[in-house]
Amino acid sequence: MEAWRLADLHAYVDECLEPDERLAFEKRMAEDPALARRATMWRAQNSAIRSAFDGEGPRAFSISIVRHQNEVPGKGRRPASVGDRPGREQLSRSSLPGLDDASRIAAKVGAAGAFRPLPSWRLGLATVFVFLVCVWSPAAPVIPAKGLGDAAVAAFRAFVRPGVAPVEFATGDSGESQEWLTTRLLHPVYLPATPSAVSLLGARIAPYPGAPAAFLIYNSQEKLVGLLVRPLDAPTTRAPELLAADGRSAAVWTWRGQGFALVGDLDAPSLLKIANDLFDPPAEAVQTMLERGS
Amino acid sequence: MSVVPPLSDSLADLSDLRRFALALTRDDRFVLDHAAATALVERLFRQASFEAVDATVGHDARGHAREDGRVRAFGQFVRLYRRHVRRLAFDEGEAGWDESAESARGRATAGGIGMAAAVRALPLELREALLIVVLASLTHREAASALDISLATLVGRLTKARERISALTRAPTAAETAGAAAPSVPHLRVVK
Repeated sequence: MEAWRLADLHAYVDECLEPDERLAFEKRMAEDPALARRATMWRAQNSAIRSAFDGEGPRAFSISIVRHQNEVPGKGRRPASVGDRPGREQLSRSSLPGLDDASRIAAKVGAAGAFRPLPSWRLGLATVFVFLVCVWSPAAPVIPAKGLGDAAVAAFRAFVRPGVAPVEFATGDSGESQEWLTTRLLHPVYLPATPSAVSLLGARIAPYPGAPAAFLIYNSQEKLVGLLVRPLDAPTTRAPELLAADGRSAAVWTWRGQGFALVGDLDAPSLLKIANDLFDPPAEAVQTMLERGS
Repeated sequence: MSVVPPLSDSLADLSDLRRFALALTRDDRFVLDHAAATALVERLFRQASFEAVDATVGHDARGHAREDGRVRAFGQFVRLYRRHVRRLAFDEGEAGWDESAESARGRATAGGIGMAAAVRALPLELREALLIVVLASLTHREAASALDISLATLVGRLTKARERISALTRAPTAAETAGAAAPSVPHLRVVK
């Protein structure tokens, strides 16, 4: 079929034609049964697609369009029209007034003292800075604790709520969960032994910036807690510590090259206790896991 | 606190965008169900700023601005999702675009699949073109602009998408069923 006829056919099917163009196309269809057949088929296909995905709109979720207060200005902010660079006015209307002052001062200082010899206090400051960089050069990789915590809180909010099955793979066996997650995520996932204070309900895949992560749901005192597991670039083992993530508490730690974030409806001390149990399980839990061969 | 203005003028547009986004992000692999798609879309929405139309502009200009804003919002979401898929493919060391097409083809020859599964089996470039036109009801010109492709490319992608869906959803013919059931004979050659 010629390109223009095909374009018109799609436009007719998708109701993009003007009334007069539509009439003209219908006349053409009356003379060409193959064209009419194809149009009917594609229109039926459109209706089927709409009804297949129709249930997804009304069950809409509450998207918060409010930006995070701690978001770095300029990083997440997009210009009014995509592709355009923000103008000088827009930049100057930054939400941090100090930024403008700082940039103005920097501009003045830079312009005025471009070729002047540096004062001694500046040289001293530069020396201290170089010294600090040398001493504190990060030998240990940076652990994205905040990112882990935020992702765990987001996953917990999305999956642990009425009307949503919290797990995709229901099992109380962490070995089975480990195997299922390893198969799904295409990289090895190592899960800690389940302490006696909690019981595993199952696992699922959760979104994480850049790649999916493992998410486990445990039951603790009739309340649910979620554990997000994501491989990191060879971090050192670090014991659980509490941090605030998106309005909740999260216990974050690293073990066997992975980052863990535990969140839930429990108070912060209870979360930390479970996190410590998961991080350093009692001897009997480890024994049970070894006996199962996981 | 920096707050993106409420979308009072274009709430319907945002619900269209949600429907489109949820349909687009389900991939039958990492995003298996509605809850997972919701979580992913929510994260991508947080990265975007879908700005409201300025209510102070004139009537006609407001209408045009609303249309532009709608196309821009769809375009922004599509770009964020494409980046997400690229990162996913990069992390996993594999192509993320056509990943479910083969298994879908297998299921299709076994007995046809449902419409939603057939759409999810399309490569991303075809899926986004089809869904933005059919689900979000953007005109072809708007869709091409949101996807950052030419009108001819859009029409080409729509043709491919619709033909693939027809092939995936139709019931297999008797010959195909027999062909699938018969053991495949390897083409061996005797070499002397």
